[in-house]
Amino acid sequence: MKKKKMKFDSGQLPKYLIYAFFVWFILSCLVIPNINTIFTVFFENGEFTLEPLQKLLSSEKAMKSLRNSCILAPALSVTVGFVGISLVLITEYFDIRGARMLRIGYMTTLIYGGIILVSGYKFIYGNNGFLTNIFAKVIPNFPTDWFQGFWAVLFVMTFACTSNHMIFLRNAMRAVDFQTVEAAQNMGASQIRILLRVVLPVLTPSLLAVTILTFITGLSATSAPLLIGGNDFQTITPMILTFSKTVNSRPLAALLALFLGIATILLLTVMMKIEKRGHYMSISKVKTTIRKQKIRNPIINVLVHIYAYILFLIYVLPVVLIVLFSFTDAKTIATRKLSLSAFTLDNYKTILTEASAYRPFIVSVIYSLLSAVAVAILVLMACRIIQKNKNKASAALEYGLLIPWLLPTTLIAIGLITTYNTPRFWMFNKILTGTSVIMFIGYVIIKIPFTLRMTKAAFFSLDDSLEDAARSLGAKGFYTFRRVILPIVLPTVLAIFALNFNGLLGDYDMSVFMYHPLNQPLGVYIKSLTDAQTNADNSALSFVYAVLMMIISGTVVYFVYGRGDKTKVKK
Amino acid sequence: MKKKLISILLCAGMVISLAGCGETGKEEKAENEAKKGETLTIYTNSGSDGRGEWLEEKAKEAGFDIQFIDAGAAETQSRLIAEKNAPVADVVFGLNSIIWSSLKSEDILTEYVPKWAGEVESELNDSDGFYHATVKQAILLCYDENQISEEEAPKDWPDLWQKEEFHGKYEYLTGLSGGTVRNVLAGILTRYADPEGELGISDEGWKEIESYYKNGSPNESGVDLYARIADTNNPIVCGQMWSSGIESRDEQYGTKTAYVVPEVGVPYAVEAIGIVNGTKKLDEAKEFVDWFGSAEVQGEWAEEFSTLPANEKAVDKANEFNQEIAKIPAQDIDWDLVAENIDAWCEKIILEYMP
Amino acid sequence: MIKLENIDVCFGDFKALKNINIHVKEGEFFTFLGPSGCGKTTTLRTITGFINPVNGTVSVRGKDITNTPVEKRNIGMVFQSYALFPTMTVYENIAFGLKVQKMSKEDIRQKVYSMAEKVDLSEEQLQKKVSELSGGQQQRVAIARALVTSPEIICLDEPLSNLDAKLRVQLRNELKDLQRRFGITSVYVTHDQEEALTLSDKIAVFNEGVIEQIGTPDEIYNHSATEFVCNFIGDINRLEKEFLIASGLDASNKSIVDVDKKCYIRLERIHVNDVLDGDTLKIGAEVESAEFYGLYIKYILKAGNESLKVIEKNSGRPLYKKGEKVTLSFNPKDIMQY
Repeated sequence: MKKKKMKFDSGQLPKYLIYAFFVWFILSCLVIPNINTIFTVFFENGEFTLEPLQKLLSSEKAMKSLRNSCILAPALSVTVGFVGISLVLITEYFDIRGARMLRIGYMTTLIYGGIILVSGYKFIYGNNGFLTNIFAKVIPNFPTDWFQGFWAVLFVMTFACTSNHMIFLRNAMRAVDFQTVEAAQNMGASQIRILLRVVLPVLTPSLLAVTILTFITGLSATSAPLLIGGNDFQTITPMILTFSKTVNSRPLAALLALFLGIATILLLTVMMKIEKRGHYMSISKVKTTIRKQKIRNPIINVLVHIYAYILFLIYVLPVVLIVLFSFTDAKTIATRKLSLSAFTLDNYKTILTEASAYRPFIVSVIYSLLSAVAVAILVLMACRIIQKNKNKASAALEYGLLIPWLLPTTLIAIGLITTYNTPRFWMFNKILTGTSVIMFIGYVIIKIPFTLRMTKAAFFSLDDSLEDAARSLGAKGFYTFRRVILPIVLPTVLAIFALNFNGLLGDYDMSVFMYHPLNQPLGVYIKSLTDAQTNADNSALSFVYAVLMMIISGTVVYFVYGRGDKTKVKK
Repeated sequence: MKKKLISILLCAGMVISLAGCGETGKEEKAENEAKKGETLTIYTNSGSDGRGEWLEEKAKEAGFDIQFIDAGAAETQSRLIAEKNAPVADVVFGLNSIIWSSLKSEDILTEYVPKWAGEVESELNDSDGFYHATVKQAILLCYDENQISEEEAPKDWPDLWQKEEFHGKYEYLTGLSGGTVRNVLAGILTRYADPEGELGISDEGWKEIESYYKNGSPNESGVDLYARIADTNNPIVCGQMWSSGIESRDEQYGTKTAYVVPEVGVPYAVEAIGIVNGTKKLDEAKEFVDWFGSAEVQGEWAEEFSTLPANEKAVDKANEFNQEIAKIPAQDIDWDLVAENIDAWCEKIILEYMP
Repeated sequence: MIKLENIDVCFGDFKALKNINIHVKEGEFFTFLGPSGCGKTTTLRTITGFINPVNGTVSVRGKDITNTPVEKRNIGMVFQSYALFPTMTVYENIAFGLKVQKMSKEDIRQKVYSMAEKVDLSEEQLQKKVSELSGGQQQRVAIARALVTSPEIICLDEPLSNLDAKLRVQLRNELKDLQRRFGITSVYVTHDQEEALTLSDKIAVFNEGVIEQIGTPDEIYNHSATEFVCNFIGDINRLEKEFLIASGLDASNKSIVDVDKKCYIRLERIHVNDVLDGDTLKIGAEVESAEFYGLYIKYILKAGNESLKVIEKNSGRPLYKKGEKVTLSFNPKDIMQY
């Protein structure tokens, strides 16, 4: 709506510096290192080739995996959406007994993920799992390998992927103007009607945003299909990872990744269009915060309580088991037979007494912290530019920053090293390989798209007149941003910060190619421990590390979230 | 909120400065020792299980200052190739012949024949002097004698898919980037070498490999093969294993491992050591290689980590089990064919044969 | 004091303002009135600097500020949504502009407190979060925030539109009172004609991006310059040619009333059974209905085919009943024609 004449004056200088920085950053960190990777897909020895494409098209397995990924993504969007909405309603909307405890349980996905999470679920539902054993006893001929394939993957991922709902959708729910609910009640609407017609529509923009993320997670599912997909339900990302590890198979990896990447970008484009169409902004000036709704129908009330607590168990049991098993040995883990005698503190002793074991923790915490902060700042600036300028340049900025979604982490890492192992003009003729900086850059790069996506959503829900008000009171652009805009989006930014930090803490894919010999990060350290060749099986140690990481992640989540929650409760 | 942000940033700052102190501390130390020798950066896939620390200690006693980049074999290879123009590493050890030969052809290594080269079986070393063997590992098909007897057990790899009794009872790996699995594949495929065939392998060979994957059971990510063998409810009774991993697994899982000795012999994964082309510390690197591969160090290494040294003078330091392993005949494998084609083979297997 | 000269504003292809010329005098309460989408808010935002005109100049006290950035204009603004900063307390909201000016803490304190007193905000309320205030209180915070930096001009964008009727009237009076006390030049945007008439010194009536009329409230009401204005402001009766002739108008004398033009008359200018001086036109009518408002009575009457609305001051005499025959009289000078 606003039209501004651009005029150069010295006050604008920082602005132009920031523009210049982004042009440089996108070109030198996102485009140039990756362009070669994409090039290798279609060019071999300088000649155009479709060989990788043909290879993939003629491979039944590749096509099936691709199909599976494409089935999983939408299916997951639906199931995660359903569970995610339930979680938000249970913790924020309905009056459920023990909601605070439930909330903590539902938030466990924030502190662990990947292989560890899936292993946790396998302890319960897999072969020899607790539940499986119970079923096997009660039902004769119960197939003990029941927890395998599409449904198992869908089940685990449904509960593993609700982190974003618990953060972003919950925030949206808290922002619902309760007067609208009261108004609807006043007009005699039933509870279900209010929920469906008044409350959920307000959540739609946030729901859309988190659904995109779920969709992308579904497309690039790795651990769950690998561990419980069985022969019938393997997806494409494990294949990409395998290929990207082998030098000569990288074009295949890049090509497969491009499939996913393009699907992702297409989806995003559609979603951006929908997003532009309109916002459901609250128009009320005097908002009342939500008061929890008691479910009036007693039968439904009981059912909802049961549902809430079943969900709670599903969420909490894997964590509890991982913690328990971290005190046992490999054999107990393998056979899943917990007995009192199996408990030992040896695992913790081994790790905590080993001096070299601390350093990776410190290294990873620092790198993750710095990268998460850098990403947050970078993306905040980018969002500000995108918000203020709606033109081709800002669109280019936005799409440019989404490039890392096109390629798997491994290939981004390799692209970065290969490009900057010689002095390049773009990097001020500095060699990055072998420096401590390169891993930091790598960490920042892989976290940009997600951060951009979620931060932008927060920016777009801002009331434009706030900024106008600040400016009419004499505040300049940056002051306005710092004092007015930032405090409003800060909760979202901090939440994203926590997610990024936790995600980077155990990173292996990027780190292994980039870490400096003095700074071995946690992910690499754990992997080298657990992949050890002579010590038979270090699964116990990997659980100990998982627990230690949960503690760090949990602390971060608590600082960002737990305290915030409390202050809100006080008032 | 603002306060919170500030406190977070403050914390970050503190941690960074602390870390900075840590790092400078370390560097100072490095500088002090640089009087004796420069700090060598060593890439290896064989630094786990305390081997890295052990070696660091031993090297220090010998006057070397070393630091490790410890990663999987495939990652180490990728990293070396990616860093080609500005190598970080000075020395590489571990890995396997396939990767060594590819590193050599990628011009990653520099030629150096260490003093102990003559003490190693000459076939194990690179004929052009770019890398030299340190440790041998037999890649074996293992089973648990508690569950099947020697008579019942397969006699060679093809038995697994050719005899119905083993169908569904052996494990294959779904990831093909590891050294062991590539040796297994090389051991099977090179039996069907055919210059006319696709990727140097005859149609029959590809049929066999198809059958191998069709009748086996994929590994479960995060679950050790031995965990499946030890579990009596699990149908898996056998699978691939590297020789130095057997003893500790028997100890941990209470299994009694026996291995198949086929008539053609078994593939040996040969760990080696080489100097990175472009290192600025060539002299120091050469000295380190001379020291590391010597009969004395390899002997101690063998004692400490129950490996099978390639250095013949050190073999007697290996334990009884490894002495036994040393007696298994090596399979005659055309490693050049393997090195040239293994990536393509794996690609083909993943795309076409793996269910 | 404020001069808008030949202002054109475009949004893409859409011409939002066409050749706007306005002169607001020092201390004046100037209102932009019009239906939604007429360009009144756009004009206001042009004054504050949120919108840059394609053509024309904005000047304050003779100084051209067309290209001066918003933050340097020293024009206060109260937003329709109030735009109070949700993360700050009431105190912080009011102090915001002063902090921007890097005023000392003590000065800020004094200014905020004295301003809070003027707008009736208690000390306790100052420490509250803005979301904890009622609508009326929020409005006062918004006004206080805009006034505390002592701007030369204050712009108000429909600040009463979201309030209930009673609060609106009350705050309207408060607003006028505040304006009078501060003597500050005010530009006010509203679509509510009653608000405009009661508050303003001058009114500009907007329609589809052009100004239809600028004048004092009584000029606008009694001598509407255009048909749009007379229809938009207050209620009115359209008088047909036949009706006028039947009431005794000399159609041939176009100097008094030109019956071929569209003729209108305000409701209170027709009198029931009560001939005033100058009421040369008379016609018989029948009462259709009567609405009693206390202060006045609104009749709907039928005269021939014409249906007329008439307002009579409540003088205490009995109301005319439905079906009662009455005589209507009016002065031809009160007829507005276009």
